[in-house]
Order: sequence, then structure tokens, then C-alpha cells
Amino acid sequence: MLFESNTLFQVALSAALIGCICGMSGSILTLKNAVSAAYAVSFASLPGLVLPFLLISTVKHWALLSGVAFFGTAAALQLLFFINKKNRDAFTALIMTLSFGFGMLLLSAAEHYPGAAQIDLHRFLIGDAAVNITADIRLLGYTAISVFALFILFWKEIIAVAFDPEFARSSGIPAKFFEALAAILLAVSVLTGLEAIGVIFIGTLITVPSIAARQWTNDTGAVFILAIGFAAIAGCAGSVAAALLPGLPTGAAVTLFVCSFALISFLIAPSHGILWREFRKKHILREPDNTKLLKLLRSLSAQQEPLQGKGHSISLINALFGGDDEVDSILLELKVKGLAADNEQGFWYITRDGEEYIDTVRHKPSKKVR
Amino acid sequence: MNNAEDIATTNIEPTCVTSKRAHSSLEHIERLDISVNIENLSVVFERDIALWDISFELHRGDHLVLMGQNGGGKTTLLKSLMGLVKPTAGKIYVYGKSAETQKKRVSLIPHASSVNWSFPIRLYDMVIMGTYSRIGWILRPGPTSRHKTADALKKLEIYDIRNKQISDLTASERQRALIARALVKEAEVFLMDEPLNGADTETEKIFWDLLRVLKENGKTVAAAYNNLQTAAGHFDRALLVNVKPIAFGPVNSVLTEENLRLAFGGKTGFLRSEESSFYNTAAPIPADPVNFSTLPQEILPNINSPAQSPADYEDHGQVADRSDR
Repeated sequence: MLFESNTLFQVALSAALIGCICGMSGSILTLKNAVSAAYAVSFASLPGLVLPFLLISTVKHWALLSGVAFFGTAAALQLLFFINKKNRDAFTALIMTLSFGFGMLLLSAAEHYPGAAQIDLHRFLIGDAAVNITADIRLLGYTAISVFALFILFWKEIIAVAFDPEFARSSGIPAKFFEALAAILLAVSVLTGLEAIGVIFIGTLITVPSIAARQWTNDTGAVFILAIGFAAIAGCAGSVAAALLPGLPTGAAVTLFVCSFALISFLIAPSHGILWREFRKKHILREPDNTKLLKLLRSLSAQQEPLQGKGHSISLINALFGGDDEVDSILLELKVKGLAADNEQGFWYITRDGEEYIDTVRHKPSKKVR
Repeated sequence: MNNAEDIATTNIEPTCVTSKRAHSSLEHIERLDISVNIENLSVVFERDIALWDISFELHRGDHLVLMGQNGGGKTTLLKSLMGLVKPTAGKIYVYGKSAETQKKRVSLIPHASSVNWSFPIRLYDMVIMGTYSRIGWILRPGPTSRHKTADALKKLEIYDIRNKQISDLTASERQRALIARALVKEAEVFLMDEPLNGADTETEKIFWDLLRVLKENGKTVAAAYNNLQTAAGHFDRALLVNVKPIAFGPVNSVLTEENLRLAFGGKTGFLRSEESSFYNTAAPIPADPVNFSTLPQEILPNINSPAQSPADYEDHGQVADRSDR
């Protein structure tokens, strides 16, 4: 039945919609440098999934998902709203491991319950896109559109809060409200994708598309749109692959696609990509080493101005410069030109002439160097 | 501007009003001149005292420098004034109204280290955020906001690099960006947390010029700035704070050797030392907590000089009493 084109289309569409929702909520997390929260929230939803089944022996869909919603929202609020940045990492790890362990314990207990076969809770671990059909697709569509509308309307506020919550508050933007909103959105995306993608893989679909998108662009809007695109394509392709290859869990297939997007982005994305950087280093107008080193000396003296004229040791400069280049010879070259000098202790510093030289370089159009 | 009735409904005690005129309506007019009024402010974070019983008053156009050790409560004081930190006890008024309701009239230059500089945003987009307090929800910045932003960028001489990513900015440019963002807010009171941290001499010059313009326009400034050499020339009032207030008043009468010793816990010998260049031009106390024992010896000219004995503190006990208002 699954191979009937209509069903396959519905499976692909629902996975794409889930991808859209996940991509949107994930882009805030990437901008806030809080991606690990997505994993913690997805794992935290596992006990929420099994507990209703154990407590009231229900196999009703809504009961299981409301447990997920409750646990997911609680974890997300805890991580993004109540816990300060300093403790977030530790709490994320704690919530993640604790709830996964507890969830697996409950899951194995649930297997011995009557009716366990009927619901197949293990499906929730690795995902099965085939479960989302017609009725769910409509709901997913509405959810995706509402979340998108929310982002478009409050874009200014969301970005201001993600960038600098304190400044946002000082501008009269209710930062707490938008932080709570981000947490709820995270819980919503876990909830929507839990069945199709699975507890283990949903965190990847939330976070990785925006991380991949971030490699391609420095524009917040573009990160957002690209993340939606990557997540939707990965969701779509992954669910189709899972449907066509029996035995391949949807979550795993989606993860493979999304991670390959990320891998490609890490390698070839302009300005951020590893290969691109190497290529630029070798072939495209390379900033002369001496200017680069001079800039380093200048930033060193600007960082700790009292040290001006006192200089830094060659080993320190070498470590900051990159290590593999011939720092000694460049420094000597700069000394001959009068742009840098060393004192009797052998510490190097930038001279006034050197600072002026940097200024003239900087005021030329810098496009060539970039 | 507030009307006199607004002011009259607040609890401001007219203790520092210098008017000799007895007429009550005139007194109200005098009170309009008080931009910042802090009454017995104490802030406690999770049983740690950050600030204890701070009271002072600033008039319109006053420029206050806040000095004191790290962890002495300077940042907390500025954040309380901004309405970001709730006072555990005491009251803060900005132009006669509670600081929490006056966020539009106050602008904060945060410490550079508190900003996420890896955020994918252009300098221009960061600075225009300063206008958000004047635009309503949902609405986007219009031509007026863009014009103001361009103006501020030009004033700080960073207009040419407005399309640069903030992650590519130098320490100085970052500092200028923060100042520009605070400037476009068009506030009455400017709060600054180490505004020249990592700034080059050019930025310093622009900053002092800007401060002069703010003064001419009657804007109040409160800046945490630990540089004795330049503070006296550019600020008219000073508050030394080390959790408790040490001294407050005209800058020259506050920044005395005794008061500084109390504020900096006996480590002031090097602050004024002519031969020491470590703290001559920048912050006498580094902005971030520094474990001096881990610094290389060559950059520690005078820090390891013998600390003051307890007796030294006792000698100056009277100073503390006098200023402990």
C-alpha cells in the first residue's frame, strides 16, 4: 500500500512539514548557541510518552502525545528559560541522560503490559513516517503556517532577544516572553516529529539544518530560510527512502540526509567551509603575511594597551599567528621596514609607523583581501 | 518631560535640591532637574550581597564615574538603574518615576564581553536595534530610524564598515558599535559599563568628544570606568563603591588616596605610580576578574608590592564613616 504514489506523496509531505517546523525552531537555538537543548527536550519526552500508558493503561494517541507535550515543554522551559547560561550545559546533559535512562526503563516495563503490542512504543524511538496520514497532514500544515507567521510577525523581537536579551529588555521588549516562546516552539517541534522521526533522531532534524545553513550565510534571515529548506528536503527525502527501503527507520534516513547536508556545508560553504578556506588560502588573493602579522601585533597592543611598547615573546606571537608560518623571518622583515621592533628582552611590538601602515591598508577597499 | 504633578506623586525627598527659593511650585521645577535618584538601594543575589545601601542623586547633565573593584557592584548598579535588576531593597527613580517604567529614557552600553559577537548580524543591523524601543511591536524600523542609525554610525566613524559582520569587528570597532547602538536610542540617561574597554586612542578621542556633546545637551551619564588618569578630566561626579558606598561627590574630592585605598582594598599604590605603565592608560583594575598569580611576571610591575596592613585600613576608618551615608 505504501508504494501507491498517493500514500508516498503524503508521507513525504508530512515529513517535509515536520522538517519545516523543526528547521524554524532550530534556527533560534543555533542563533542562541543552545542547540544541545533540542536533544535534551527530545529525550525528556520519552518518559512522557510511556507514563500515560503505564499509569492509565491508555493506548489513545492524544493521551500519549499530551504526556510528551507536558514533559517536553517542562524540559524546554527549564533549559531555555529558568536555568541561566552558566549551568545550561550541565543541566542539558543531566536531563538528557536521566530522562533517556528513565524512559528506556519505563519502556521495558511497558512491554510486559497487556496492550503493548497494540501500540508498539518502540516505533517512537526510531520513527515511522508512514503513521502520519491525511488527518495529521492538515494539522501539521496549520502548525507550520502558524509558526512561520509567528516568526514573520515578531522577527524583529525574536532576533533582538536571541542576540542580546538584556538589551532587548532595556528596549522594552519582553525578553522572557520570547524566551518562553522559543522553549514552547521547541517542545512543539519535538511533539510534531516524535512519531515520524523518533525520539533519538528528532534532535538532529531540529538542530543540524540551521547549523548547516549557518555555514552558508551570515544573514539571520537567510539562516532561517535555508534551515527550513534543508530540513524540509531532508525530511522529504528521508521518509521516501525509508518507505522504499524496507527495514530502514525513517528517523535514521532523515538523519543521514540532514547530516550529509551539514557535512557538505562544512566542507564547501563559502567563507566558512574548510575546503573553501584552504582553496582561498592557496589560490585567491592572499593577504600578505606581513600585514597579517602586523594586524596581530596591533590587536595585541590594543587588547592590553598598558603593554604597548613592551611587546610579546615570539612563542606567543607564533602561537597566535598560526604556528606553521615563519614568524621570525616576517618579524625581521617588519623590523627592517620600521613597522615593528623588539626590545632588549626579545619581545616584539608594533611601532607607530606600523600602526599608520595598517590604517592605510585598512582604508583601501578591503574587498580584495576578503 | 514630566509635569510637576507626576513628580509630586513620587516619594522623592528633596534632600539635595539646592534651591534657596521657598515657593513650592518652584521647588517642583527644581526637582525636574533630578535625573537619577537612588534611595538606600541594596541588591542581593542568592544570598550574596552585590550592593548595600547605596543612595545618591544626579542632576540633569551630571556625568558620574563609578569606580571600584571587580565584583564591587558597579555593573549591578548600572543594571538596576536600567531596570534590568530588581532592587532587593530601596528605590530607584529616573526623572521622578520608577526605573523599571523609564526604560525608554535610559540607554545602556553593556560590557563588551556580555555580547554574543559570533551572532550572524551586520554592524548596521545591530546598531539599528537601538531604535526598537521607539518602534512598536511587529513594526519594522522606518526611514527615521534608518536616518538616526546612519547618523550615529557616522558620528562614531564606523559608517564605512556598516555592512561588516560583527564577528569581524576589532575590539575598538565593537566598542564603537555598542556606543552607537546606545546613542540611537536617544535617551536622557546613559549608562556605560567600561565603555573604553579595549578601545584604541582614536576611539577614546571620539568617545570623549561625544561625552562633551552629551553634556551640552543635558544628558546624564553614569559610567563604570576604572581609569584615574582620565576620569577626573571628563567626569564631574564620582562614586566609589565596594559593595557599600565609599564616597560620592565632586570628582576631585572623592578620588583621594584614602578613599581609593578603601575602594580597591589596599592595592592602590600602583594606580598612581608614575613609573608603572601597566595601569597608566587603561583600566586600573582589569574589567574581567584576573588571577594575578597566573599572569607572567614581566607584566606585573607593582602588583606584588606588599599589601596594606590591617592597620592601614583602620587609619582611614573615619573616611568610611563619613561617606557611609
